[in-house]
Amino acid sequence: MDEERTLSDKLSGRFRRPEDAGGKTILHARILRSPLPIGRIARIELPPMDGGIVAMTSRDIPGPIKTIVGGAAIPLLTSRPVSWDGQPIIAAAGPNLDEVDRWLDDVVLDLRPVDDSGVSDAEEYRFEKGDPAGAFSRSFQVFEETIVVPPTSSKARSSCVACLRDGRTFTVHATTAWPALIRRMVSRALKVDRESIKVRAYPPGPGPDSIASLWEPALDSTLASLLAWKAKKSVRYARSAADHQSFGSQWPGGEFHIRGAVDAGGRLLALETHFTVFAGARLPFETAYVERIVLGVFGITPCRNYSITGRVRHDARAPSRFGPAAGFELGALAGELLTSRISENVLTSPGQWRRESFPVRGQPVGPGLTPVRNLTMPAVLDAVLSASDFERKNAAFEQTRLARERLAEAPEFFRGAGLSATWFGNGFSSGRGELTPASVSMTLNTSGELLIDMPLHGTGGELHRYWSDRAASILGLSADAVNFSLDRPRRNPDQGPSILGRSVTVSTRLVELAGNELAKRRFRDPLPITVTRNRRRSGKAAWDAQAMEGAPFETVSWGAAVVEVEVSNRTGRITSIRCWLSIDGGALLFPEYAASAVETSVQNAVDWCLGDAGPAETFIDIRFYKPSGKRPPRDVSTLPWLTIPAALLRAVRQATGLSVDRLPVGPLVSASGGETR
Amino acid sequence: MIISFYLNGVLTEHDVTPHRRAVDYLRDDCGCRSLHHECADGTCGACLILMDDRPALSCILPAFELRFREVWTMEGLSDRDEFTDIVSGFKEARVRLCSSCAPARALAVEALLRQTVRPSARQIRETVESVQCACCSRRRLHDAVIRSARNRERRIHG
Repeated sequence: MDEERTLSDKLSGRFRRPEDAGGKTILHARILRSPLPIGRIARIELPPMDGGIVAMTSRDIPGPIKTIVGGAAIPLLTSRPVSWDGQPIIAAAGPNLDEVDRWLDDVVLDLRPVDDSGVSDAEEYRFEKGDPAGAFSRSFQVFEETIVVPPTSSKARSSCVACLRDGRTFTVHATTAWPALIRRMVSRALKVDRESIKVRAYPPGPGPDSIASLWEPALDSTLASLLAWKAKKSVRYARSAADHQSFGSQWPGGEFHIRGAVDAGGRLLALETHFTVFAGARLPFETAYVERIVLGVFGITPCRNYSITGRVRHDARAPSRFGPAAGFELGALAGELLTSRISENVLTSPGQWRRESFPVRGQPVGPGLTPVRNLTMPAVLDAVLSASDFERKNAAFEQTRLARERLAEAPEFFRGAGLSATWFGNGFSSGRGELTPASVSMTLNTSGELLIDMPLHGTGGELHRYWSDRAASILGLSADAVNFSLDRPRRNPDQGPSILGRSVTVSTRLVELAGNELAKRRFRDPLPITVTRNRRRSGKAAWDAQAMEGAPFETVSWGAAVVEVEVSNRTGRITSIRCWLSIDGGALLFPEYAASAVETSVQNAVDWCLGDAGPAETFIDIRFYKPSGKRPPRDVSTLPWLTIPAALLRAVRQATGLSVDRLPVGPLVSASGGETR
Repeated sequence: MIISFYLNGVLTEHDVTPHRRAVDYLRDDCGCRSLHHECADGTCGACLILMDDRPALSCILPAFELRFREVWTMEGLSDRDEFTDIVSGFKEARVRLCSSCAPARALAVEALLRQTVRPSARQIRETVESVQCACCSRRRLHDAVIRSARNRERRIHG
């Protein structure tokens, strides 16, 4: 199933999706959701269930009512308290949606508002090391930055799951990157063995919403499966676009106040940050999310004195989903804005300051992360600086900005340029229990065919081809003799999600390990031979989250970006955007598809920053650093989310002369908002 | 009411209710699985069909509007030789698409190429923007449309 064949199927419409599963007898489900954000259910009266209608309330759930995802307890259906707008109360299914809607209209729901805003501050996260107060007191200069990012709603789209029931077996069809979570949640809610739950996972596809497929499909699948269990029939549940618009989850936003102290030579001495994350009623994997924000704030520049406090503010919106870089994007934006501010106010040029601030051999990255043996960041930075001619342009635009008050005649456009350089961890930090395990199982059967059990979901078709070719070359087989198995729960007990480049780094390694073991045993042991390789880092030795020391990720990628903007002096509208990126993603498997994925991320990151106010087209120049030795491939498509927003914001500030401190940057903001620098 | 129309070159006759949307009718009753009803208000374009050689959004179109029309979906177009021009164009541009917008994108390009094989920049931009999805950059889609047009021109004129 390589990308080219998949593309042909997708374009022709032959590529199947969850809504295509099941025949005409399938039941259609609707969820009755709370119209109030905060309230208490006093009474529910259900009309008679005739005409093939089946309904579930929380009392009918055979297993636990609450499902636990990443430490957050999320009720499948609520019976008393309502904690967020659109919280599910009743699930109903029937032969067609009109009848289900009519039945739900007759439900008597006595829901009373409660005098509570629903806003709550959870525990404060604190990270501190060294003597930040002392460093600030003896510093030469102190720089400050503030940035506010509101929660981001994804574009309203319908989503569909189907649960096909065949006797005691439930087959869930869903678009997901984490089928193991669906199997776990459905089996717990139905109180049935995991073996009787099969998951047919459909790849989420590229784009920022792919990460939304982490736990939302699991919740929808569980509700559909509960109805299928009660009705003893197959059930399809399509969450409508209107539902998404009214009650859909959002990526968390944040507010950051960040201060940096530098010495006379411009070196960063200390960092002080206060941040608040704006999340919905629940934020699964909250601690991991906060850790990633903090790592994003540090970036590359070494800093041994810091004080970082953060809190997560929950309100009465639906449980949040992860942002495109699972928190990194917020931290990196704040950190890189401060770095930009420092670099443009010291005596050297911004590029030169960046180069001098990178850790030297033996020095840790950021707060104390294990230093890499051969830091490629200087080469990555030089590539983007020379491609974009940043230093010259920046000097010219800065002169214009400083002299704009004295210009006899204002030009039609002002230009600005911004530089950003940071790193990205390709996965979740080690030790994150359910997020990190991975396993690959290979079976060489008597006919010489190789069957690979591994999560195929959420990865591109080209990766499957690569793994297939890799296994075939290790064992000396033809690629046609290699097949993948989608769903064998015993062989792949609990996989983590295949997002954030995790499949590229971890699964590739596991395929190689299992293939090598199979190659050793194939002439020694009788066929069929099965070899399983698991990845489950203990994490304790490798990564100390509280001290922010060690190696949090399997591998990291490095990237730098320059963004140049042209802003209309009359309308404040950004009329042109040019982006240059340089990325070290190791030995890329498919450079052309990697470039396509990076371009998509650049476009989406620009749209995130500008809302609907951006120009129709963006010039994008991408350069991949070519490593000299053998280096494993890594994720490259997430890096633009970390580098582009900070560089773009800095460019807008330079072009407008305004201290723009919130996203998205609309024409009104750049024309009149903010204070003059 | 009973409507008759040509669907992918075949005369089709059905009894449809007045409030039935064309996308639901074409998907559920006619088996056109390439149509997706994502937004239901005509913003995303995933339900695009060709009606009398012009692109139309079937999610905001009542089913009875199909009466006496010639309707094409990707089920019919993908069996024709012209489809290879579009697939090759998208492959050459190294486009990665999601499964929800891909058929509509192919259909939008086909609608454009039926008008002209030498589209202007504005026509290409309109074609790219007729389907709203964040799965691929507009620049690469622009490239894919140009390559598809070149393939079509080469096939027609040699």
